[in-house]
Amino acid sequence: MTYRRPRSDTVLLIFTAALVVYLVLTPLGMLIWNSFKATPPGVPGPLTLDNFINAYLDPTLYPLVANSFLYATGSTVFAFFIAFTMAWLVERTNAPLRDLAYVIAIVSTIIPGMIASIAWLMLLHPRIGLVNRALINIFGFSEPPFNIYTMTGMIFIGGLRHVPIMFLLLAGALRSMDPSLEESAATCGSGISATLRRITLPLMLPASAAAMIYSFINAVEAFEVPALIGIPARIYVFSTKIYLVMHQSPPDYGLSAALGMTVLMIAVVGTVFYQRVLTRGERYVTVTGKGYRPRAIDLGKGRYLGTVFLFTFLFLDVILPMLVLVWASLLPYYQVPSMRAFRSLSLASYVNALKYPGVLQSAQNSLLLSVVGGCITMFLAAIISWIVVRSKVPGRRLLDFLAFTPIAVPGIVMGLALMFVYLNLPIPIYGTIWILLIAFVTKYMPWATRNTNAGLLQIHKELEEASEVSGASWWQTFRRVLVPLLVATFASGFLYIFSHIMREISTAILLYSPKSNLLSIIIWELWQAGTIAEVGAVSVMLVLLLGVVTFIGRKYVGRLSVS
Amino acid sequence: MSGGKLSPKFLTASVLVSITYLVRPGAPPVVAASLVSSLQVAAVAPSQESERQREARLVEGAKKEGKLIFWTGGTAKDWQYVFSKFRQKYMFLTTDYWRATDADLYQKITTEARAGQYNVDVSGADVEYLQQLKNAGLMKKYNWPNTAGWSPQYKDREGYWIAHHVLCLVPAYNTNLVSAAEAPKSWDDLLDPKWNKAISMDKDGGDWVLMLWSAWGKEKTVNYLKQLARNNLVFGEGAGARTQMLAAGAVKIDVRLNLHQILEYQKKNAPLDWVRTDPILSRPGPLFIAQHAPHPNAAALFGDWFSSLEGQQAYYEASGKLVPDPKVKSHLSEALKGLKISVLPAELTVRGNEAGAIWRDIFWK
Repeated sequence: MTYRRPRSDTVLLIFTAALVVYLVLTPLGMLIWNSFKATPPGVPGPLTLDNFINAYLDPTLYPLVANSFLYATGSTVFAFFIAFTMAWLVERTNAPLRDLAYVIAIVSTIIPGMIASIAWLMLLHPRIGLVNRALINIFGFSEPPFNIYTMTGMIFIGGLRHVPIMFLLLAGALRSMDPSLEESAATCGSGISATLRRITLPLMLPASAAAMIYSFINAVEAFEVPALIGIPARIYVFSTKIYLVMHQSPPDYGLSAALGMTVLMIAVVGTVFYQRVLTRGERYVTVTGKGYRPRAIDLGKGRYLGTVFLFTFLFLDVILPMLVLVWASLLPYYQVPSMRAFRSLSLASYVNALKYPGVLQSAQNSLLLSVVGGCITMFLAAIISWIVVRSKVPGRRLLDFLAFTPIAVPGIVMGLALMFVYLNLPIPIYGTIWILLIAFVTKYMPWATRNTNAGLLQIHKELEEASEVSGASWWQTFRRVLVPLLVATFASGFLYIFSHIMREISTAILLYSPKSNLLSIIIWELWQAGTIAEVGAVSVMLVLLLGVVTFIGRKYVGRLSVS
Repeated sequence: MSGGKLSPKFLTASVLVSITYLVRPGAPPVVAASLVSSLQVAAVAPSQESERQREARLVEGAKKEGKLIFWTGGTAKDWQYVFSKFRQKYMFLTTDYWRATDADLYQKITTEARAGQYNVDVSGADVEYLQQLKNAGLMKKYNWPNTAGWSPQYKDREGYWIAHHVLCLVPAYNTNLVSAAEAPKSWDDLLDPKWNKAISMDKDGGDWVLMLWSAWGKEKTVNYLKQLARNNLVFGEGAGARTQMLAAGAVKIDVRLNLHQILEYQKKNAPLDWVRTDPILSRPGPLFIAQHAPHPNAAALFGDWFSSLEGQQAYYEASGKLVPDPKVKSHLSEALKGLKISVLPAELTVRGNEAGAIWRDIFWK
């Protein structure tokens, strides 16, 4: 199909594609260039393969590879099981209070990974974990039943951290999927389980594959859980090794880039798989020009089990960690519950946190960047996805791949790359909030494009063709046909990016300036200073604030959505 | 300036030639402005003017600059208090503050410098990075006029840096989990196999290796660390966070915590006590004026004030850390009375990379 686009549309498409390529190539180029150099960025030096030789001849690399794969696979599979069940319950069944899942997912993403890991440490630590102590007291175990400092512990927490993103992807896809086939199966006497297995799951293959591939690569790059749980347990993965070599004296830029390249290669393989799913995606199109309205499957009495499942996840992923954070925030120093601890409870840390230098300015900056960054990233991603999924433009797969590659660039490397580029280019944004905006748009482009790709894939071309035949321009079609159909996708993507920018640290740490400080940096600073009570206080306030924003956002988006 | 060896005539001539070169058409404006300003500060040897004249000159220059940019690894809360005191005296200056870990601080300073940009006036640095910063020409040689009464261990012989605090690192234990009788009393007690997996430590230990090295020599240090490694240390990050975990009972012992934080926790009745090792390890927390400080007069003014009794007292009140000025009465000095203290000598910091490699070889593999 060929569109006769007006010239301004072509310009918009070319400009957007060029902008994304520019944004992405900055950190990527830095990563590749540094992996072949023995000298730090900006210092001339001969090209060399030594970094790769050092990385691959190091016997500690192989356990690293095994650990990374085990962690990424385990947490992805665990997360998929929970996320798919949640998405199905919400979008296809009549489980009471099912809409709560969206709030759970967003609130869960709001809790920074570092904070969640700390909370789980306090819950499942073999010595001071509250869950362990409670079980020992109740059942008289001689040994603590759980030990967080294991690969299983890492997979459990890492998996929980990946549920929201997977849920948002899968729920978006399920919502956009015409349920007529499932309803036909039910009419023909197929049970819920058989329909799910034979119809829903196969139809959801592209979205599921996309979600799992994304989650897997994200897990390979994930830092917070491997750092807080893995390093004390001496279970190293790529991200922690990269962090360690970047923070040693002197930092080994070359080795970290060579390891980063390895992560990139994993991302390449993932993307190739993803592309193969994508090219076969036409078989899975279910949103057509025909009207549809999903009908909820009646689970009978089992619907309460669905609600129990959602509440169990809510309890594990949000309530339990938040309770520990609230507990920690009320204490002068962290203690397990006791009469002495109860006597020392106070709200002093909340007062201290609000009086902390720059905390309000930082909150403003974080909010501004989260809103603007979320909007820009989703807008760019939608256009990129249109080029990738709809157009026949040569190089579109390369564009899709490029938009995906920032996932492989460690946060600190991206920070360094942007710092270096904007220190040398005559674009005066270094030290301003705008360099952070560029960093965040680049960093979350992979997530945003996976989201919009999956959403667009399920909308049949005939809707756009109808618009085109009626005389609409490409821009009009995009704005008035696609955007309304993609509102749910946009909303979930925006909220995800919004909450991730609110908590991002690793890229921002080198780019923020006194005037562009962020709330996440303040939390990190408080953690570094060992003031867990203040960390808890700021986190609790942040989660409450974002919970309210999300709730209002969902209500508003709910009205906008095409039902 | 370290002052004195160059004649005023030579200095003046050099300044004129340099200025002519630096302000030529095409010179980078930031560099030119900062260097010109820097040379104006340097052109007057301290010995030629009284303390009052010197301050008046710096004040005059700083008023034109209007700002001081300060980077460090300390907490904003501590430095906000210090700057509030500083600004009580020099209200015309605004202060911009940026914080990061020492590794990130080093990366920011060096990456900016490679691009020819210089945005910091005064900065902290970890001892491990001092030599690299000095070699890169990023530290200014300065005559810290108020440090005459300080121990030579707390300032660089050539004037490149001074200590803004002296960090005393001690092993500490949770008194609920370890009785006073079984608590370790010496460095060797920490090697007892009964502490297997019961001792925590920071994942980064290069500076700690250097401190042991300065107390015992390299060979004994390496042997000791190899034996300690058999107890399978539990790694964490940040002394503050590890102190919390120790107080909560997550581990029995931590091998290197900050004494001032332990004392602070004891005030809150936390079940913590510390080991009076022989020696107590300590290291200076360096502070330096940037060679290409964009506000050189403000930087010098702050350097002078901070190293004065008033500045030292303010930093002690804010942080509770031991400060190098012996005139500041500190509760840490009381706690350390009668104990042998080993201070990491600045000369050994050139071995920072080697010490880091020793740490990684023994504990990360």
